[in-house]
Amino acid sequence: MLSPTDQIEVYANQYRLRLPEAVIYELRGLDALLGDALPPLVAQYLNYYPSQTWTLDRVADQFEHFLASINAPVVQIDMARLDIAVSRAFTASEPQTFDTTTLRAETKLVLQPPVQLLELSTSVFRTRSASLSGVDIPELEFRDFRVVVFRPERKIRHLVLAHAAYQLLQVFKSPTSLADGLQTFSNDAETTNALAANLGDWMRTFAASRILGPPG
Amino acid sequence: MPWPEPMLRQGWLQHYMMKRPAVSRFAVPDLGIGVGYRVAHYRQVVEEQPEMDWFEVLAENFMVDGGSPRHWLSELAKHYPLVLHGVATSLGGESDPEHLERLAALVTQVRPPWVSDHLCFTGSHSANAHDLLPLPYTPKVRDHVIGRIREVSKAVGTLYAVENVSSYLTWKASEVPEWEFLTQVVEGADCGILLDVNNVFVSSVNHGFDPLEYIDNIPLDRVVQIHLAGHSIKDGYRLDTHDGPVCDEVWELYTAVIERMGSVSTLIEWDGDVPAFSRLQEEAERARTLRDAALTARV
Repeated sequence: MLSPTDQIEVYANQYRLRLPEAVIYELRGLDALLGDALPPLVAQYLNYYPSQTWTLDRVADQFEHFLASINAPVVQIDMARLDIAVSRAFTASEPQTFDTTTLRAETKLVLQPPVQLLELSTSVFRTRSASLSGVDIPELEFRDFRVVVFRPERKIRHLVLAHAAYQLLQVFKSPTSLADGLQTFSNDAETTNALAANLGDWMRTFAASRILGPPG
Repeated sequence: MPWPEPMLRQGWLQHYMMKRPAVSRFAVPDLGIGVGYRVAHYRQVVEEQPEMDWFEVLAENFMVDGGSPRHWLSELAKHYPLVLHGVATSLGGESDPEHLERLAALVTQVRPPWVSDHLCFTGSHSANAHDLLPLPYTPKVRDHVIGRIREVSKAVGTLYAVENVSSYLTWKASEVPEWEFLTQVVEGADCGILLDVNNVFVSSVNHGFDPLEYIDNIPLDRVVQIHLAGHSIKDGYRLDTHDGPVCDEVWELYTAVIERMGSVSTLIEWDGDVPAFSRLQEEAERARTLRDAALTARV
């Protein structure tokens, strides 16, 4: 028979085993990036951010904020943000598409549920894709990237967007007609010019990728 | 995503009731021997549809809006009877409206013959341990749990069953043994029991009671399902790890249960070091053989 202290220790040990495992499961990119350096960070994280949700899917949601609070390198923060964006996209509602050939100015569109927009300071998306695919990891690039994470079917994808395309997508965070969306940029000559040159291609991409679609 | 009309939904109750009469007071069907639906086998099960009477699905894994989990669940529902089993309702804890809403929505889609979760709490004061923590067996806790079961039963709108957990800790405050607490709870809430035979055995070793005394002192006519699983032998205690085959002592206890009450839906749990599906089928066949022998002995 176990002593009272040992009885409690059984549960404490289980907590120390299970929770870090669950956090790391949600942070696959960061795990690939940091390897053995990640578990001590996770242990520290769980002290600051014990789980407050019924689902293990969300146990790592605050990791980005934790990393920021300890002044972690920006690449780590970017990777945590990307990991959580992928996790959210994975279980979001099914995305719909729209027919670009019948698209009219008054047609209302919205970002589809899996879509996550990220402004990153590093090319962690390349690092993550390469490490999870088991191919050579490209050198990390430090500059501004605007990335959309999406899920056309069941697999997660990402695209790096031009500034104007990213700006356009942001307009559709809530249901908006194409005309109203474009009107947003009436005082922004640079974006307007970029839209004028690329709008057709971008809308076809957003439709095919189920990034934009009809309101649910 | 449109939800499929499961193959056995039309008349499935009658189909199963004709095979073996229900032994529980709730007249739920004996689905036979099933296994847990685990990620490692999603694709194989859906694409090959291997021999298996039924599957138990961990509810929380599918209480999401969409994506792969919902895809694999809807595909499974086309081919096999399903039962939902939760791990995060925290019947001894506080109600979580979001959890309850998502559970009820899943039940509405899957329409299982019953839904279950554990007689435990999973956290306190907003912190979630994601573990099945044992309760103090007191009248106050009993009444709280009964209220929570009624709340959840009403929300899901189908038969609800509570499972006894493996435990490694006893509370000084407990006034009755676990089997008496379980009995008071299920009678007070008028719900079913998911009898985890492995958990009875693990706790009997950890706390030094006779597992048959446990079995003989719970209302067996409320048992709608049985769990069987493997556990680990640690230094001074047994740990419910679900990472190996069912041990001989648990098989013996299973046989004793069937001899006493007849056959109910039986489920093999194997969650860690998950083997090939064929190994799970072997374990299910062993359960079937022992169940049939016990039923013969009973006659």
